[in-house]
Amino acid sequence: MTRAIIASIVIVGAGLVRVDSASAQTQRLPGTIEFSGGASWLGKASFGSADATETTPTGSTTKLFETSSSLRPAAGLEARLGVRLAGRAEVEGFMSFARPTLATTISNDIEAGTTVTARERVTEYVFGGAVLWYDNESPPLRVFVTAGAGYLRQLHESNTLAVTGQIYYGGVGVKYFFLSQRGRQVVKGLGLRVDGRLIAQRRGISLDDRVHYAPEVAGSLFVRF
Amino acid sequence: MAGRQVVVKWAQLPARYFVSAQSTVPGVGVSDFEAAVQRAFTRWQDLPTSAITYQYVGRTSAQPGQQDGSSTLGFANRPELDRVLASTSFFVDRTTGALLESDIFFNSAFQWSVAPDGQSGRFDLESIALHEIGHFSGLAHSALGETELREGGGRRVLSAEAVMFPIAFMAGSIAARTPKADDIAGISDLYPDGDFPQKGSVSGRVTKNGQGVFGAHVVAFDPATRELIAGFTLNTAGEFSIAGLSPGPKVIRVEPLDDADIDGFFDAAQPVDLDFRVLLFDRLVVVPRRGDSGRIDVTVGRK
Repeated sequence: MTRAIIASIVIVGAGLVRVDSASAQTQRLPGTIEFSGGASWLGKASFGSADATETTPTGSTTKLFETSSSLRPAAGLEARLGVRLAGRAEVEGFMSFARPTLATTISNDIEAGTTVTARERVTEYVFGGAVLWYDNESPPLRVFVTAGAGYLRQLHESNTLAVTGQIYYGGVGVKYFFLSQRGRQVVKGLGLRVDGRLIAQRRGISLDDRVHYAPEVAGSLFVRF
Repeated sequence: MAGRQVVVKWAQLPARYFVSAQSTVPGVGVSDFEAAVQRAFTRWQDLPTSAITYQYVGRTSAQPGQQDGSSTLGFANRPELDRVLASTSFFVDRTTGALLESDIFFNSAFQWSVAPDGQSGRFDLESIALHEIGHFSGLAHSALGETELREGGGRRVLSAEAVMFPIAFMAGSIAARTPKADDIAGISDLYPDGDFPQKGSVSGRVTKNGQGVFGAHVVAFDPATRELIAGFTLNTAGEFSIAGLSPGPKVIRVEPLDDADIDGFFDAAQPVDLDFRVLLFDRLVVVPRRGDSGRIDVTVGRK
């Protein structure tokens, strides 16, 4: 159902393509404020391995079993509110929501012959800000680079334990304008935004103190005022 | 006790102890003995999450095992106990569980060492004292260890991750001079201090064919800290609780108690079930801060 609605919006939007030629000359985006909302896909973040060990009589260790953990890929939702600055720069605030699965694969147990993956569902919120820098290309297609940072809050399954951390990202994206206009109209622009980012996560559910990286892609519809 | 469960622990601290003036065997004088057991007492006392404290009073003419109101440590020649390196006896208030006296004897029928790096063929007094002082303080045995049967009887320890494992490492080893995570959780649960109240617990039930499993060994592994902390199902409903866990997700492993003699953990009359396979639970169990995971249900299968 949701997918059908998004497809309809895109088709309707495509029918509205009208680009103000003046914007091509000035390189300025129409409108000052942009709101966007859409979906994201966050890739796998590996948390490495940890062995359960016991001490031998010589003081060395021997494995009881091995584990490797990761935060599995997950779809999410995100919303952004941007404000155009002078020139080609824009700042935006954002929030996102996702429910990835924390999975720990347990293998090579000295007694159990099977490999088991233990899981829990994590609820994740990110609140942050970012800057965008647009290139010189003309509408309807505007390419941008972006960098941002955010406060990460993750709730373990059953909501009995919350952990916090930070995320940092850099990425590139493109905005395709179905509608771009100046003048007295309230809506100055309408279009589709696609982002590709590399996320660096610090703390949160990480099982160690290292920074973990994961790719993310996002697609959203935007409207500019 | 008399159908009731009481927590056996010292009600008043520091726990005072004496050393028997006859505590000497070849290679270990009384002063060596005092120094070795004091190092072991200090290991327990210095744990930041435990409030247990001890006080060495001095030498005594008494022998360990005499009910005299004083806790005494010393050697005793017990050649008939050919598999007992040392043993701790208690005198307990049956109503409150308060320890009144706790004596430790070390069997002088064995060869002992207090050498800093250990001594081949001799048991390390400090390591064995550390284990016995765990009992002295109220701890029971831990089953975090792996053994193999020896041809002549008994078991050989391949590995252990608790000084409270009931079987000692081979003579010459000094690998058990430091309490492990399971030991620390146990002593801190009895005498909490520092940030121990911030810890949480996992509780649940182990069943087989719909019935509770008694005596199952349940191990919680923390992938973040790599700590192993364990407990047992302690009733016929198969219920267990493991305290002293850091907040966060845990891997749960359930195994039968097959690496040590059952009577080192339970009374012979108790129906310990060994007929099930090792199980790795397919859920990560989240331990909250200062709270419990909420009951988890683990189903094991017959061997």
